[in-house]
Amino acid sequence: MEIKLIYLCALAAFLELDRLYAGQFMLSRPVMAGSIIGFFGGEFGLGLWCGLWAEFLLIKNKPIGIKVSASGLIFAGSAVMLASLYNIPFYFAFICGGILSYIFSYLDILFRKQVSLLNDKAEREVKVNACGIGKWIFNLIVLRFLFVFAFLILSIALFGFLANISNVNRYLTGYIERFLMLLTLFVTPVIGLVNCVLIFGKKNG
Amino acid sequence: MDKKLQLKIFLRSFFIQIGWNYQKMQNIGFAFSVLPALKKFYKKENLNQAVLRHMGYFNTHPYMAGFTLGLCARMEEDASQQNDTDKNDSYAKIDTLKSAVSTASAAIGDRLFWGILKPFCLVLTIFTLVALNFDFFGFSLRDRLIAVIALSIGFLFYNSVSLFVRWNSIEYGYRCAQDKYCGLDFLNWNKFAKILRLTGLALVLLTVATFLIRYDVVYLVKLVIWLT
Repeated sequence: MEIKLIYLCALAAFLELDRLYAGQFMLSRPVMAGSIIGFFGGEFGLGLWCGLWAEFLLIKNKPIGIKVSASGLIFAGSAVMLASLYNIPFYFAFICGGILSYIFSYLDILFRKQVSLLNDKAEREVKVNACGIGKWIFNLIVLRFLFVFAFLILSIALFGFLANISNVNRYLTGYIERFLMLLTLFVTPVIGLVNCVLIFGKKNG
Repeated sequence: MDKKLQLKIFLRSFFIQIGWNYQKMQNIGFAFSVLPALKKFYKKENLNQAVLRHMGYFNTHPYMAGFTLGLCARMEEDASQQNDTDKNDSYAKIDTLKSAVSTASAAIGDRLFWGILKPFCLVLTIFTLVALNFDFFGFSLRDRLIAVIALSIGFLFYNSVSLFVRWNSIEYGYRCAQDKYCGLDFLNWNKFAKILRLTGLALVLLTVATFLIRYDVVYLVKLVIWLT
């Protein structure tokens, strides 16, 4: 399980680069990332579900200007990993994924502030050697990868450990189970489709 | 613009958001992307100064950066052939136009790509799933194949539009240098957005209708009642 957790976190961190640092091919969209992580984790169906449902909730988020929105990849990816690696029920893992994505967005703000400090160093180096900028690009990619990887592996291991030690499945019965299932399986897609109608129905996009 | 230079800028423009920071936003990515053009027009000491000039504040939509990159490449080419007095005027003009074009293209890009195309591709993926009779409550080999097809359709459509804009905007920006409205007439943006919006709306309604026809609604209603 540990090996699987490491390579799935590495895969998720690699896909996260697409969100901001390299490409923006939308491989980091929850529906894509969730499916890819699910596929490599042996739970393609679960990955697709988590991805679609996370995308439904975050569809209105736009990364405009200085706004740092919740990461759909962290949302879907961590939900898939928690559900498949720690046997946490899908609906509970989905909620944990949502919480982790919001925590990550705050840490991302701190990360970006730190990059501002590196920016001054990069400028000083460019003054002497313009081609040195390539080295900065490589360093920043590695730094971002490590940041996301460390966040994912620590948070998922912690959430998984806490869920197992508290035997959370024992409490997820009866009304609580039904409520969470209703919330994730039915309310989420309805919210998503209503959001889509609102987006496409608005004249100015 | 020669294709080799365009290709170099195009490939580097995938890293336009690298090192995004609150101070100067996409400055590192922009300097990295425009570097092949600067290398062509400046030598050692002047090259360092040119790259440093482009490490100032820059922010635009990542797919629309090509307009500014092309425009800067052309204006730097012109400036490199001028005498020192004219050069300083040209550098000031580059900064002004860079800011104007990046702001205008960011507004279009945010609205079109984040605001409309992204949700459109999600709806396209879901519509494909529902239209191909994907079983949401089971996951056979056939369903896996349908899921791959649906994901690929959404992914390819999104990237065909974004890569088309990314590639062509560089040359377009190069041709329309000196124009602060560069990129606004690259496509009929409003018409394109309107087509996507209306098609997206139709797809959402079709998806819901197909879902209700294809799947056992009575079973779903019973399930919801049981859950509540």
